[in-house]
Amino acid sequence: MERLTLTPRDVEYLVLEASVITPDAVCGKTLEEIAELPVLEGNTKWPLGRFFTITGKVADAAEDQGIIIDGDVPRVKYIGSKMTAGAVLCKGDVDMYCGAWMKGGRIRVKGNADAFAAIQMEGGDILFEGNVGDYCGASYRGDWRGMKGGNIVINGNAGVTLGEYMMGGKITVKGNVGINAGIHMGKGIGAKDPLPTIIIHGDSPGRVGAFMTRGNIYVLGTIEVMMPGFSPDGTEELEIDGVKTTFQILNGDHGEKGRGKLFVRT
Amino acid sequence: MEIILNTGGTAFQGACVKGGRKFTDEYTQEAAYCDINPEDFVALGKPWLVKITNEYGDSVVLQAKKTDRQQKGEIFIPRGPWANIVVTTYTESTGSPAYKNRKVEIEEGSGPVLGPVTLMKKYYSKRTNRTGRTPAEGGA
Amino acid sequence: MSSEAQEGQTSNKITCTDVTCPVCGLTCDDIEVEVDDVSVVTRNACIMGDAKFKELRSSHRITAPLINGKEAPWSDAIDKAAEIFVNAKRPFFFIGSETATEAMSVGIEIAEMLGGLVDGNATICHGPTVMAIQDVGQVGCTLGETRNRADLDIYWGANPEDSHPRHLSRHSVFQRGFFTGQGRFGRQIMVVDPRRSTTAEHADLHLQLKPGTDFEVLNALMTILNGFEPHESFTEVTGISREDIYKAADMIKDARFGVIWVGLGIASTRGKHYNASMAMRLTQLGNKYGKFVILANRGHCNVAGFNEVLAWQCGFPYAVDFSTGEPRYQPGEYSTVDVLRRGEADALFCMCADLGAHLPKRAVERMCEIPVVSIETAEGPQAFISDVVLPGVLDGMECEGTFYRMDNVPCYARSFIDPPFDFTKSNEDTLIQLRDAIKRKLAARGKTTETVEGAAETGSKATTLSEEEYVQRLDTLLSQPQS
Ligand code: SF4
Repeated sequence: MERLTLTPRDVEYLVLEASVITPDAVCGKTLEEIAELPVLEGNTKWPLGRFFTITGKVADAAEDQGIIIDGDVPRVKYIGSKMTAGAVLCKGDVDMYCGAWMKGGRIRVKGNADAFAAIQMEGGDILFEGNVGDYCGASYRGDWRGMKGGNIVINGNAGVTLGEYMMGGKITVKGNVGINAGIHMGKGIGAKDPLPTIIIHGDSPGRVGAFMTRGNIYVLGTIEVMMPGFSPDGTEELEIDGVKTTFQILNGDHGEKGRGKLFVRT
Repeated sequence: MEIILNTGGTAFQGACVKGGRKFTDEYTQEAAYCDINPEDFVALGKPWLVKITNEYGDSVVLQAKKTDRQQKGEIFIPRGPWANIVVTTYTESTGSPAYKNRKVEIEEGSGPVLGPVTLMKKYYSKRTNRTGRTPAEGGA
Repeated sequence: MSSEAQEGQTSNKITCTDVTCPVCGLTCDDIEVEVDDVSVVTRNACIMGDAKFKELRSSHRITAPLINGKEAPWSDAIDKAAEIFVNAKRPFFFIGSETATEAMSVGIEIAEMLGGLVDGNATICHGPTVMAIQDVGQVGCTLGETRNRADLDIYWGANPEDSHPRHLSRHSVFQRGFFTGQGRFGRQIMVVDPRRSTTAEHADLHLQLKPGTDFEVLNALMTILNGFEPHESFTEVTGISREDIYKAADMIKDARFGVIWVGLGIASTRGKHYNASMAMRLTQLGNKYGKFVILANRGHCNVAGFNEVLAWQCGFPYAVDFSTGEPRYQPGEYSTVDVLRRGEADALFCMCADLGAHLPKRAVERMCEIPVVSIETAEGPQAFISDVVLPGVLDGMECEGTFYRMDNVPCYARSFIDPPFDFTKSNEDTLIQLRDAIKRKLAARGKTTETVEGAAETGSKATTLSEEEYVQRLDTLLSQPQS
């Protein structure tokens, strides 16, 4: 895999929309061409090279292209959005829409990610080593079709509304989550489709699986406030990430006549 | 002590704002107070003034009002610049800041309840050096 | 609605009937106003409406433009404002609600022209409720129907006694309508509010829930209506007894025409638009038993109007970004508080709203760092932090215009008096002047932009460059915007 390194320069800006930082956009181009790819600062278009020093090698196909962002970019949006193959590694923080609408490839963020990360993801793998903001793996605003596939792993904590309208794929959170995890989960999928899954190792303040109609949510920590629309339905021993745990099964959300399953560690 | 803050409009505060009396003492009367449940009021030591501090460390001094309209463990401050000192900007990514239902610290306060003009001068004087900060640090 | 200005005995006295009140979302259209040289007397208006009408003859009205707090000629102020926005990379336009839709429309046009952001009062008010409409859909009706038919009024997180003082007497509890001739005795009132508010005193059932548990209570009601038992932790979580919640469910089942009035208690607490979504789902379920509708108690007279105008101009209700040329919508990213908190905007236009008083401190602090232009009628926090203040015209009094009532019904408001200055006739006029000034400045700059484009083009044609040339070209490129 060829590596292309973007090092943030010491230039001030308000906020950048850099949907060009994806393997698909850079592959097959020369370094000069890459430096001239447009990024948006509000209503102004700038070349990418104004904000990043670009070094390394470029591959011919997106699959063989790796991009390394060597530093913190907490105000650069759309990193790795809509990518289909290849890999992106960010050594610091990223802003909103990291890995949004992603179809394939891998993203790894060593710092924190802001809101709307990986929304409407369809495939690929994302690993956030820090925390992520709100609406991770959710649907785009106003759409009722959320994440369809792929795998998200969050080593830190997640914000509110994780996996809203989730239709497939898997999200694992090693830390805690905000309210509304898995809200509207399973809307729009049939009985035979593979079920979406959320695994929460930490705690949740509540509203887990609200409005949920299908899918599985596993909570290994505690839920502070249980949704009234769930009713207990026995216990089961399951293996999650190699560890056997006994779960209480709850069905719901009865407010929506849902058939989702919530597994809470007893 | 930790308590839940709600803010909201009242008709009298509304009349003040709509009537353009935003830089008068009347506005201070109608918006710079804090409704406290009687039990909490006693627990605070029947204060005249209270100091509210939010999770960012911003604080404001207000008049304390005892009222049984308030449930225990909650306070109410009318909408206005005083309440907004302690309202946080976290919006759950929906655009609507935490005007209601946010945990704050409350304690007996001292020092004057600032009038609207003094308050604006103290907290929001126009910065002369506007380029002094990189936008990247914007959030906090 | 006929408004007639008659000359009274005293030469300058004007009496006017059926005036539309431009203050809260009810947009009452039965106000009588008497104005002479020194005083204003109103009839039918509530305390808030009366205060606004008194503005016509107040001592603190801003009648001249201010630049950095000092009076300045009108043309200078417009010029300075235009200069600020032409130079901005991410100008933010906040269109407040105390103005007519006609003015809002021009404001949005300017934002689009400059590739800026535009947002309205909904963002700190019922924005979440508007999002919920997109999420699950709203069963609504007009205020006329609630007045004539409703036999169950549910105030959820709303306190109209304070926010809409004439709500109870004109449109709900006490009004004797066509099918509700018994007034209060023919209606059931339920209030859901953690405070024992003044509205709660009228209630047959007051659910005094723990703050922030609206979502759980709504979900429990839906669970009961669907024939299931709420989870055992319900009472402990919400502070509402099982007896009360079943009573509430029975009231919903028994109603012939129920209305849920949602207030900011739903939109501003934890969960935001999902609280409103759940309330709308409950309304949809309620329609199994009788007619059920849900209405938002919109706070300002034309806050609904902004959503309407923006939606018909670019398809989205609020929080819109034009920076790529096409409208994009995302509350949480393009909404006022978030844009200011994140330090994205570099110039702010605030029209007919007191952001200085109503935004949280951290957001206002950002406003102190960037140039701010406001249209304001009276001194106050917003005027205090503004670099340029353009005097505002009182819509519905000094100029005519359209207001959207809280049930999205447009009401046309006439004017009955002239503004105290002659450089502008209405806020719409002010904005048109500002728009034209900006257009002129953009046209003057058009040339400079072209030369930059030209440079970029000749540059990209040369494909083989030595490293030195490349660095040189990059340097020139980097110091200028592309287009
Ligand atoms: S209720 Fe609202 S619209 Fe009616 S008079 Fe009062 S402020 Fe004006």
